[in-house]
Amino acid sequence: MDAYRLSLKLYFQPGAAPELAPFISIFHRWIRDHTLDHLLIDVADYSEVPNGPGVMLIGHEGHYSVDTTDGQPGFVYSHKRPEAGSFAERLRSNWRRLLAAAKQLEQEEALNGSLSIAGDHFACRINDRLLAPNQQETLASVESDLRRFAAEICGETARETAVEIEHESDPRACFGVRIRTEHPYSITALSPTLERS
Amino acid sequence: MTVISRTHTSSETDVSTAAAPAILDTWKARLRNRIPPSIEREIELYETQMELKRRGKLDDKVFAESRLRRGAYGQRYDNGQRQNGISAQTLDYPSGDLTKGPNTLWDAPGMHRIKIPFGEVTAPQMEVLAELAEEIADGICHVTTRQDFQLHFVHIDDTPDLMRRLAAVGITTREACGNVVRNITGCPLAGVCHDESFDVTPYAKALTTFLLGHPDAQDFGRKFKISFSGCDDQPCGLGRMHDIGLIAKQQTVDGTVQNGFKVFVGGGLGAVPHKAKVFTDFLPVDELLPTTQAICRVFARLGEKRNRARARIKFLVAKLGIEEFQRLVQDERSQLPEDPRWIGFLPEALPEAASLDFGTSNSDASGPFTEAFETWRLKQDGAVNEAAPIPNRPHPDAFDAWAANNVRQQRQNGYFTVLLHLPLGDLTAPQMRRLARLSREYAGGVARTTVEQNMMLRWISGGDLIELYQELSEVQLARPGAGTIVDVTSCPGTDTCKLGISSSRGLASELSRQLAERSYELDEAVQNLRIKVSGCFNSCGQHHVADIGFYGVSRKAGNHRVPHFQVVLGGQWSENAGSYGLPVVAVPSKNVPTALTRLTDFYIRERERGESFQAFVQRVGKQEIKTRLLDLTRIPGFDEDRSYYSDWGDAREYTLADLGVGECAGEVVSLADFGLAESESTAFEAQIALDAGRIDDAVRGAYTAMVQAARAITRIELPDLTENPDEVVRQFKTRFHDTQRFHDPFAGAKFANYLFRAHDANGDSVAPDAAHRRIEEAQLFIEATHACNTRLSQI
Ligand code: HEM
Ligand code: SF4
Repeated sequence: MDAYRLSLKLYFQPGAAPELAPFISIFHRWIRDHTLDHLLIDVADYSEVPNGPGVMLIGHEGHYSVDTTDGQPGFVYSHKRPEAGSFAERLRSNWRRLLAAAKQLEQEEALNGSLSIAGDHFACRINDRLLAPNQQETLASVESDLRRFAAEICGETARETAVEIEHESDPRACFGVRIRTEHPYSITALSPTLERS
Repeated sequence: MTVISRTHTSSETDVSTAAAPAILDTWKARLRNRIPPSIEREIELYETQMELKRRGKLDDKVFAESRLRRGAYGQRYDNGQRQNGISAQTLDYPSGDLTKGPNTLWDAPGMHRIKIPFGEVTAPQMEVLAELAEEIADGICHVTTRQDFQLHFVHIDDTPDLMRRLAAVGITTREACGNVVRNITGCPLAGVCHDESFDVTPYAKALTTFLLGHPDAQDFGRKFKISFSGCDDQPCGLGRMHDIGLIAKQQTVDGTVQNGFKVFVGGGLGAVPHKAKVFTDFLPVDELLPTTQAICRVFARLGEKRNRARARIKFLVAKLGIEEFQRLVQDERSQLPEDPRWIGFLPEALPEAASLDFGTSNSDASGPFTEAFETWRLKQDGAVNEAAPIPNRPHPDAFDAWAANNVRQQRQNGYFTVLLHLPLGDLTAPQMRRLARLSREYAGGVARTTVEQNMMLRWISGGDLIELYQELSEVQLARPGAGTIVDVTSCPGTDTCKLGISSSRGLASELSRQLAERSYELDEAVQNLRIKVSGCFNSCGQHHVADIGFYGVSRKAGNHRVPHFQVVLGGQWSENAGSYGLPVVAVPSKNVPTALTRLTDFYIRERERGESFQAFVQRVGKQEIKTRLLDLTRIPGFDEDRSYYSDWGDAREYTLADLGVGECAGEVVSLADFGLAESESTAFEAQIALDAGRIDDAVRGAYTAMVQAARAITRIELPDLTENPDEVVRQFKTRFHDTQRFHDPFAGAKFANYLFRAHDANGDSVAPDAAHRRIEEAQLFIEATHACNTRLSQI
């Protein structure tokens, strides 16, 4: 799978969707302070759009958003620029980008600890209809990587974790799966396996 | 490891073209057979130019024009610099100083404008727009004030494939920007409206095809905008503010009804709006293409090329006078070699259409012929459902409130149009996909965009309305209040536009939110007012033709800058943008909602029975309105209330913090500020004079205001400068114009030239519309002086 436009989404706990307004100042400050280790460019405020990307932090390599596009609020990282490596490697690098930002968000005072991530499921999309059309073949080509990855993020002890992959197969939508893990993963620490890889 | 894998199948029945197996791994290969070869060659040429540019073998300006003509615009911060509220920050893009135009970095995200002739999009087109938004932009499809779509934060490397994917569904982004014929707009109700003379759709379509890439329409000094309207008095087509405005009209000659157009030329908004002149009262439809071609040729030959600020056709028409312009066009027309395309497109020439009569017409306004054409055209795209009345059965509570403004009965019995009220013109990719599906199920597979940044489904059978409402609600597309005061229009402003001064989207969003909260208590008189916001004087948000318009300006307060909006009153949305408003007073951005509430309350309380907002403004006078808003112009000190010093939806401080202006400069600057305040009052008095019909006073006032502003800035260096206008202009010219210190970063000498022209023309008597322009120019000159003053105090 050569596609690099991967998008990963963490979901907020039901009923714990944060207010959007504070993210505007948080993201502006991140740009100013170079808080994340890639080039951040701008903040796009789409909070007026219901079930939209909310407030976005636009970066050169990819965008972050406090997103409800699929109907459920969560925090997304969408990678945009070409990146070397295998699909499995790209999954990991994008997960790291997502987690670095999510960890940072958890420390933001303005959010008053309101950010609460449901650590038992996440979504992965491939925003590339050329290389990853939304069909069974695509699922087949990435499924084992996704499973290994999902088990990994739950930590070494979770090797036996049940991983459930739900594939939304609307052929017009991007390829997308929702992944449930029986054991929760931590967003404050990468699993030891990921740290090493 | 326990492994469960489930697959949900969606309820979609038809299969996407995008779901073909991924055997071919480039879009170019994949779409080879679906893109006309000439278009593929165009895109390949563009890719070659991109490569040459990467290797440093193509000039910046040449490449910039090339991408702009294909709709690839720059976006804010694309020079690699961004104010972070404290200091200027450099954005270190990986491709370093590789550029895609003068001062525009290669890697910087851009905006892509996608031309949608008369706003008509088909279901497959909507799906591709959604795909592109998701894959290469920020997930949002944005409807513009000229019925186009825009995608934001697009990397230039992604643009050739964007063009291919659009071309494969029949959309070209060619000539979406640049000095060419821009998107040809048209009423979204064309073909189904009660008021129209006839359906303008086939004519808009034919003119679009005819002019696209036409050699006679390539050598303009500036952009060229054309619009079609079905009637004279509704606002849908905004005919009077276009370079060419075409208004459908019927005329009976020897007992036969003939279709034709009333033609306006030389209208336009922009910094100094011009109302169009009537070119002809009736142009028969078979003359539409050749006469437009002749107008293009005259404009290309005689229009200004060097000075961008004077290059729109409005300046040519003003210079020549309408009679001379008409004569030149007629001459040109008579010499044009015959072209079969001139009449080949006419619906009358399509035998299939003419022989069809679907019997859906219940109108006398339009002959059965155009009726049959609309229905025939629709059948080409996909069938619509049987006409039916709205069923009398239980429906969701909110249905009636939604239907009150968003649903309209078509001319054809049993069919309805449905307006989708999009917040700030935005919709998400999943919403767009759902809309595509709903258009297939209910609306013949098409939708239209509107100049008010909404979308419209047409040909909805009354029998389907409740289901459609429910489906739209599921994806939050059933927002009520379309076309009412809560439906605020806005240009992109400081969010993404390089010229933005204040946050128009931020303000529009806030106003819309506050108005929606109060909507139940809003008086009916206020419900139907239109609010339009532009981020600067360029008027992309069309603030001149709103009942209440706003455009962004900035003001100094101590050592800081404060975002403001000029309140623009007196504009008229109806009668195809019948009159243009003028600025009354500049209010800090954060006080605009209060200013709006005061204005609307004042109107509700004191209007006379049946009095329109324009008539009310005219009767009570702008002076009175200004007085009522004056306390809102006060800016609290920086330490008193910092919220004034940042814009709506933007946490950064608007001004550069603590610039360390020296004492001496501080003093001199305040002298300049004092003079500027005086000039603003004079400009305002000029407006009052104009409203009262005292044209000469108005012109004199506008001129005096400019001289006062010029004097204010010149006194920074020459405190003893006299008030003699000749001396003021001379000194200003030598010290500020000739040294280019007064030059606007984008518009150059444009504003200084307003002063010089007014000075040369002083004492000449002028027509009312020229007086209106002179006042507008004075206002802009004063703005430019404010900007120059701020620049100077930052050195
Ligand atoms: C980089 C961003 C943009 C720049 C530099 C720009 C520049 C301008 C300028 C200079 C004018 C005045 C033209 C004249 O009459 O002389 C203008 C007018 C206008 N622009 Fe833009 N613009 C930008 C973006 C947009 C956008 C995003 C829209 C929204 C769709 C838009 C829609 C319009 C409209 C409707 C007018 C009124 C023109 C008329 O009808 O006469 N522009 N723009
Ligand atoms: S009005 Fe000004 S800020 Fe708004 S889009 Fe046009 S140029 Fe940009």
